[in-house]
Amino acid sequence: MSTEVLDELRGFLDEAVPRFREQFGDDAGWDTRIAWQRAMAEAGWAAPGWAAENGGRALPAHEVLAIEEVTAGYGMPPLAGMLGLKNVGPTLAAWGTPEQKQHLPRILSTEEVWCQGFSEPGAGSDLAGLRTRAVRDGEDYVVNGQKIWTSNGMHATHMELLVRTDPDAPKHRGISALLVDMSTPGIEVRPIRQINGQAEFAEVFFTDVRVPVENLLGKENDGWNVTMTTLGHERSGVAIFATRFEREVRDLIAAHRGDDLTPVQQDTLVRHFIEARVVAILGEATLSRVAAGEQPGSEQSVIKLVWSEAAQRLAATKLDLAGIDGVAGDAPDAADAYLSARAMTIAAGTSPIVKNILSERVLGLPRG
Amino acid sequence: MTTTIAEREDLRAAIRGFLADRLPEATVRVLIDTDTGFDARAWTQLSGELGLSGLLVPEEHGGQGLSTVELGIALQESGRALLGAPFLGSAVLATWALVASGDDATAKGLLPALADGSTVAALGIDDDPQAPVRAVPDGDGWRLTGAKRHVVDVAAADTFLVTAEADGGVGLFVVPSSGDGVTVEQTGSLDLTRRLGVVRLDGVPAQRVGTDFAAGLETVRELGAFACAAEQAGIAGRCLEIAVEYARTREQFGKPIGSFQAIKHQLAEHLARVEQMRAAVTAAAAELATSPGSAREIVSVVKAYCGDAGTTVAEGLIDTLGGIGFTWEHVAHLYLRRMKTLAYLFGSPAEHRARLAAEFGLTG
Ligand SMILES: Cc1cc2nc3c(=O)[nH]c(=O)nc-3n(C[C@H](O)[C@H](O)[C@H](O)COP(=O)(O)OP(=O)(O)OC[C@H]3O[C@@H](n4cnc5c(N)ncnc54)[C@H](O)[C@@H]3O)c2cc1C
Repeated sequence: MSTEVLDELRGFLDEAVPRFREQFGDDAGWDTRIAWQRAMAEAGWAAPGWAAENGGRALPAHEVLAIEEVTAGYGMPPLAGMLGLKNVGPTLAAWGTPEQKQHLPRILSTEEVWCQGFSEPGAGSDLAGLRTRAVRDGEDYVVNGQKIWTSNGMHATHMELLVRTDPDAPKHRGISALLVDMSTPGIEVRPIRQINGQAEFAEVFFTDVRVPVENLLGKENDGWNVTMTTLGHERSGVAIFATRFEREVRDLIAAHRGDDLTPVQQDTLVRHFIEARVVAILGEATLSRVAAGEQPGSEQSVIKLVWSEAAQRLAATKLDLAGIDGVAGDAPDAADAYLSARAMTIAAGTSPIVKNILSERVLGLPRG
Repeated sequence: MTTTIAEREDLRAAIRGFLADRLPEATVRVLIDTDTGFDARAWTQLSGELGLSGLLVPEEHGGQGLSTVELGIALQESGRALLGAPFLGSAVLATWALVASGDDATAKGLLPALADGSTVAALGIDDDPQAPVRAVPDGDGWRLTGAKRHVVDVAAADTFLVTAEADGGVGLFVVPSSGDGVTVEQTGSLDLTRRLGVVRLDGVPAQRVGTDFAAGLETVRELGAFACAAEQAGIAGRCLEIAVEYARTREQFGKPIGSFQAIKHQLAEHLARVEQMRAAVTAAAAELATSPGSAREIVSVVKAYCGDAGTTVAEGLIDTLGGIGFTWEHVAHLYLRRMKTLAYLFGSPAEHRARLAAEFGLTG
């Protein structure tokens, strides 16, 4: 890629990061993340992969990765509206009407924060079994039901909501996607406390919520295809996680250079490195295939499976390296990271579900 | 010479087609019980028609002058087909030792014959600790005494290249296998499809190749480790295919065993291993081809990863097959044997992890 782009980025960060830190210090809370996204968006760095007319720079995936890598080197908190920037925004760009695409600049600027209302108490792995109902009434859909595990649900101004519009059709063919303003009457959001004590996800209740028909994304009852676009973008993110994971392991090893590690600890770190390096190679290969205009194949599912489990083991090792201090309250970061890592093999498809996908769709084994 | 992606796929298809046709499993089984373990005519054809023996030989010496990128493909195919011919020993290790020696005169004499397959060489670099090979000057030449172990493709070679301490450094020497004082002994390798053995030298006249070979030896070891990993990726891919095919067709409890989730999930994990092995081999091949000086890290990563992951895939094939997988008649054990043996050639996974630990400064 042109080094000019990265030079411009570094120029911006060199100037913006110290100024930002002066105001916000080390804080990584929600308001700080919003402020940081605003700063990044104003300089054109919040979604460099988006089309220019939507406020992006139309850069290919591997260049976006390079930008994210450089940015990550400055140790800033993650942008606030990641789900909108990474998953919902690209879905709107692919399926939205011109009016619906008006959301895109607002997603960039943080004026709108989006969440994904897919999972329900009765529909997790079997997402297509979702039951939240939307019934057409004049120029509105009337929505009743419940969503759960909604990340950023407490902060979101908008939701990409999956509803059942045809209860009689086969389950994948009766689903529609709606764009919902979270301030609509009848929506109640309750935080759910997670194992790490925080409440990053929520449950969302819908009681006779009226959603204008023009907020239907894609065609009625074609919501499963819209969903696949969103989940596809969610999954393609893992290629980037995989390359970042290698850096995390390299940093950990560098931090322990010259320490008095036991041979078992040394070998454990090297095993983590090998796992991380190999999955990063797969991530890089996927990104360059995408950059060359090819469709990624099974690699993304492989990366999701391998990266999530390797990252969990790494978090356990970090806690282990902290020794008893890790659990006795003296190294809360390691303990928190250890707990938080448990989500990796659940969110965006559990490991058993990914293995089902690989064995049925790639290896061609029969359904059970 | 560089190749396009399409040319590499053609190379893969050509080797795969040739081996399936000329050296199918039934033939591999027959060759196992022969003295040398390989079909000399088939090797001549592989050398002539497909240029395998000259793949790494520079074009000016009659070879194809290809790189580790194409070599990686050829090795995946040789592993997949359990090729018994001296590809690794002669066309990879011995050939690369000659190229790396920087000795143009000797290269000019030997490389064309290696390239067309009329000469088969094997490389001895592991000393028998009881009898390390020593070189003593003798007139214009040298005399070698000692023993080299773990010599790959020992039974096929008419020429040995061996290392020995010389002038306070490492020297590389050429020794004809028919010379007086040369004894070759095959050792019963776990791998039935590739002959390993000991070469004993007793005051054997030898010709020195190049000057100090320390750096050359290093590059040969790196290439050898890469080559083993590449073969393992090919073997693992084939093991997975056999397991999946069996899981689709073998029925128990009235349905294909491949519909049972325990089997499916194991095979999905093996798929993940195979894809990672292939990707890692491809990355290592590219790095060795473009910047061999900085490839140590990736070579250790790929050797350690493929050694462990490949073994798990080959073991998994036997698990999927059940009782038939434990029989001598089934091909599964031939793959497991070759896989496991390759895991120890040119550094075991544990040795490569220790090397990485040292390079990372973790060993204090
Ligand atoms: C941190 C976090 C954030 C999340 N964010 C969001 C979000 O923003 N929006 C959203 O919609 N959802 C979100 N989710 C929900 C997530 O997608 C689901 O939790 C996940 O799909 C699993 O569904 P479930 O929790 O209902 O578990 P279940 O589907 O009930 O699974 C329970 C267990 O059964 C196993 N299982 C289920 N089916 C099979 C099968 N066919 N074969 C083998 N095993 C099976 C699973 O692997 C798992 O071990 C989030 C989850 C987490 C943990």
